[in-house]
Amino acid sequence: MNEGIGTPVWFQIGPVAVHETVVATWGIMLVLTLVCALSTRKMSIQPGKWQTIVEGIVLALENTIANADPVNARKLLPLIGTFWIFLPIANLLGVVPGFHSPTRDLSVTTALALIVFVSVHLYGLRQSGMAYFRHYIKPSPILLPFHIISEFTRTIALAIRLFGNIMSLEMAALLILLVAGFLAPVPILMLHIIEALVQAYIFGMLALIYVAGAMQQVPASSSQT
Amino acid sequence: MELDWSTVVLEIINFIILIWLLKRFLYRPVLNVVEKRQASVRESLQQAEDTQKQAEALQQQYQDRLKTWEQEKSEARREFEEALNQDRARKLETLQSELAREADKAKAAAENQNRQWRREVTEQALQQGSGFAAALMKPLADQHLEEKLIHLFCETMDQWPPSTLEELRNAVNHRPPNVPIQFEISSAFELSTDIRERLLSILVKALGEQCETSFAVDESLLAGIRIASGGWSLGLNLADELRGFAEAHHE
Repeated sequence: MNEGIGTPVWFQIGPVAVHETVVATWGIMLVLTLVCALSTRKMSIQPGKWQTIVEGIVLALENTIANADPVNARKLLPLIGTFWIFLPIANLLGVVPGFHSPTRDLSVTTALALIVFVSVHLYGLRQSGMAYFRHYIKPSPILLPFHIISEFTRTIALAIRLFGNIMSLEMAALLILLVAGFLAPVPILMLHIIEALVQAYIFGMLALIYVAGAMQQVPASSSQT
Repeated sequence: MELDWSTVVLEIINFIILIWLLKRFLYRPVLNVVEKRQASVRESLQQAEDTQKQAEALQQQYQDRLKTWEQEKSEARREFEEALNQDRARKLETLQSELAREADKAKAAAENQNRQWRREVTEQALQQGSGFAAALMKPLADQHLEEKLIHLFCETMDQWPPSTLEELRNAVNHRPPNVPIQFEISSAFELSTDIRERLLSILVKALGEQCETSFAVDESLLAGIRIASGGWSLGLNLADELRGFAEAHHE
């Protein structure tokens, strides 16, 4: 495996090169799916301990989303909740020896940022229709270019921020390991855990703010007309 | 740090699939069971509210019953007290009247007893007085006193009004026809002939017809005479006078 910034290609399907990060993502998806399927296989009105934990996680996600957008919390839960479930695992994967965080790959964070970018407009259009685009010329049409630029820059910032933090943490741990030896990077790894959770929360929260902002650009009464 | 578009596309696809998977295996089941639980809780709350309403209705009903029962109890107690008061007043009145009657009876009995006692005392006093007078007069009784008494008798009889004389005549006329009036004249001492004739003349004068007389001595008279005919008698003697004095109270 390549310990540098780049990610190795595991296999090639025609012109499509499947990198390590994609395989790691599949692994995370597989584990999450299995855990969720097993956890929710026998749900009952009277919950057990594990069911209580699972319900607590889901309801905590929904409540956090509801704090930003109480009306559309249920609609936003699949997207934002998946960010908050996937990203901590993906970020913390680098702590496990022999694995790397998929989010240290700019391609992964870019893909996630693009999903946020597209979701903002999809949710905005679904909520307000074509009236959604009016916010680009408010409070003045002069601000239209700035709005458009901010759309792209915040998406790029979203991708770069997550990539930069996770990549730099792994790189720092690697450099300390090379310079100082075994067990020396442990404090950095502890910092990695905190930073991984914070960055996952920031990414999900920013995505939530962007999407909720798009859904609240036009009042509900005018969006129905 | 290079951007691999195939990785970008694959990651986008992966994330969309992950969203679907989590929605299918995590969000939907959890939210469904939470909604079921919420519905169950709402149903339980509704049942609890219904039960509480029923309980409140029952409580109200029981309170109303208690209130009605209290009113009925108060009414019954008032009626009972009223009847009790009436009965008490009636019994008190009866008792008072009985007491008054008993008091009157007692008073009458006391008066009667007092009167009886007074009469007995008087009678006893009179008898004692009579006995004492008889004991006192007995030594003083003599023929001279007897003559004085006969003289007093004759004077008194002379002064009798006609109605008294008529009563005397009616009393002695209850005898068979053609039979003369018979008198028995008793005296404590032997009467002299003058006195006998005077007595006879007085009687004839008072009765207006002839009569037969017989004379007898009766020392129990102490002094004086007694004239008897049939069932009646008259006279003036110490024994009869003292007896009359003793029996004056009865008359």
